Amino acid sequence: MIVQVDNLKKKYKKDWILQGVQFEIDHPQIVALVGPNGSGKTTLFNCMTNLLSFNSGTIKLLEKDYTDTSLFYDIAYLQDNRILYENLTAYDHLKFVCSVMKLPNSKIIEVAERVGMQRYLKKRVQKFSLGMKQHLLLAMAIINSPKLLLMDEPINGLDPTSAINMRKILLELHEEGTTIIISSHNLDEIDRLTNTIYFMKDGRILEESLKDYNTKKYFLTVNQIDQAKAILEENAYPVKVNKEEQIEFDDNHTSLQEVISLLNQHDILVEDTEIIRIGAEKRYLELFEGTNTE
Amino acid sequence: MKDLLPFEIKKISKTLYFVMMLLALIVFVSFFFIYSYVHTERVDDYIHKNEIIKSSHQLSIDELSNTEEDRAAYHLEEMEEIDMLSEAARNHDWETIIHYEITTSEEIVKGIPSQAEENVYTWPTHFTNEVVIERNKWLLAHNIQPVFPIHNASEITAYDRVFNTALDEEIAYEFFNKYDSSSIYFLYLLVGNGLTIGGAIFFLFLFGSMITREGLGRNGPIHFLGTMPLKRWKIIWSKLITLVLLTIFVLLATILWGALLGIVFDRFGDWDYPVLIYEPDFSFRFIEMGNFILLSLLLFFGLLIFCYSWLFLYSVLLKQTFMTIVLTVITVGLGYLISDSDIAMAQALAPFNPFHYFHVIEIITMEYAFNADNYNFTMWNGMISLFIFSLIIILVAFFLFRRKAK
Repeated sequence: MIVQVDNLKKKYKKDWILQGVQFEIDHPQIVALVGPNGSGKTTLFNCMTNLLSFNSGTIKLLEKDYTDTSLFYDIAYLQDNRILYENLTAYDHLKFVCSVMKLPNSKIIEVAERVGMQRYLKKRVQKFSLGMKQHLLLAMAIINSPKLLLMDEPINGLDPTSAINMRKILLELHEEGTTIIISSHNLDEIDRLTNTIYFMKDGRILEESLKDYNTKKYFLTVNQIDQAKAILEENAYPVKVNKEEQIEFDDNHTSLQEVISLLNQHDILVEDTEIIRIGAEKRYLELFEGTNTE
Repeated sequence: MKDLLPFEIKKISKTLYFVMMLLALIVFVSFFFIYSYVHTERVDDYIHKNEIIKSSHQLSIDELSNTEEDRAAYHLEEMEEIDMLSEAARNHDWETIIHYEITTSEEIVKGIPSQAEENVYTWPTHFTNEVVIERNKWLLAHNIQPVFPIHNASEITAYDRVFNTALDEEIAYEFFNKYDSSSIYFLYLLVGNGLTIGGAIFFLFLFGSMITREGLGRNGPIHFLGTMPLKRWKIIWSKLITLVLLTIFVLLATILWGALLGIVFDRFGDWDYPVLIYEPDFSFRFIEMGNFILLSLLLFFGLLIFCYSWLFLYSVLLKQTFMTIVLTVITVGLGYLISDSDIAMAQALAPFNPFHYFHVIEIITMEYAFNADNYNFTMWNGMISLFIFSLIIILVAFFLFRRKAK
């Protein structure tokens, strides 16, 4: 068993932040933790990593008790960027992690290249943008190739290129056998990563899977983006251009084949097609917005 | 621990605040050295002062009538002695000068009743004269270059409670406040002015944020360390050890900087220059100035640990860094003020109240013990009480932290 959380309860002052959280992960996978602010996602991560005590329940990670500090040789927790030391450089942070983890310093360059932060490795964190800080946090988390990676809002502050790169890295890690539990408000990104989503509401996990939600979203990379958008809009297709300069639409009212053939007719080349399910967003709206309107 | 200590040291030494505070300390020491250098009475100043005294004798001779030959002869004799002293100073013949001062003081002390016989506390008392004589004998025995002035009016002791006139008092303090830019004497002056409650507060501000910002029960960077394969006690202890190491570093660096200034611009000075230590029943002894500096530093270090333990305790109770430091300063300040009262000093267990020991210099010289009429106010009693109280406060802090964590 990789993760075993049983009836976890946490009270803060008079409020129950976690009210019996229960889940198990028995094979390497990517699991998303989705929920509105204050639903207990960060509290759950902090309890799992023993940064926060809890009132009742049990946690086992990689078959060990969660309080065993040696677990952190195999577990990484990507937290809020407030954990970084403003006066130190990215290199200082990574060097410390290497020394604690008994890793060679060559790993620093290796991970910096993988994350794409070689340029500012020797810069102080106080000069970092939000995205650069996220890069450093990611580098610190993955430098030891962990078996279990907990990620609290890792996509926050990332530009589209960095977000794509992070997604790529996470998928690679997953392929290498790392189990990833990721919390995020970016539901598009979640959909691209996994279909195993734990929705959290009022300190409980409501749902564990989205297998029944099959709405798809398409992302087309074309050679003439402005022209493509104009043609599709002329033909009354509800499409938009996203930050990554892709044509974006879902399969509710639009067929992928129709769009591609229309673009081909106008000599626009579709270079890449990405298809994702939009289960997370749809289910989220049902679970949270729907409840609110009742 | 070997991974944590260099990281902790790097963290604090790379902060602009720490660097600025260290620079401020270096500037303070440098300016104080300049002040000491300027106010050092050198051979030329000594000779110049002698010339002024000599001219006043000459003036007196000029004003005497022919019938006052005896008085004229006295003045002439004095002038000859002054010439002799100036010549000795010119030749760096300290022995001659010290011999002269001992003889003069011994003559004077004969006419002053001792405190043991009569309650006379007018400056310069019999005790003070005895101190001057013994100090000068020490200088002679150890072949030490004196820090001028060394005459019988150059000392004020705890027994000198009355001054005949305001002018007497002014003159006494002018002679008493001696400066010298040699390393050892400068460090003696520096220790006297720096190892105070003010110095302790400086250290609280210098290192306060290290404990409080990242201290027990905080969010932020401590969570980074909390998710490393490191035992919690190691994280906490590494902070305390870093604090101790950096405190030692700052104290030593300051001392070395002061010593370096002395060596470069003057000389190293005399390790065994005498420092007065009060003892019961109108007695006294001397210790070497170098040892005095070391003992003062040791006691001050104990005081800093005591201050840090309060900081540690408050960091568990409060969330704001600045408030934690302010509350520690208030606690230390109040403890110091309350302990300073006559009532507090008179208590039988007063020597085990750690707040008394902020009077570092008076504790080492035993002047504090003399004033309190309690010779249990010793440096070692101070160290013991500071250690015990620090330990208790740290244990309370840990206990509260563990309770809070649950």
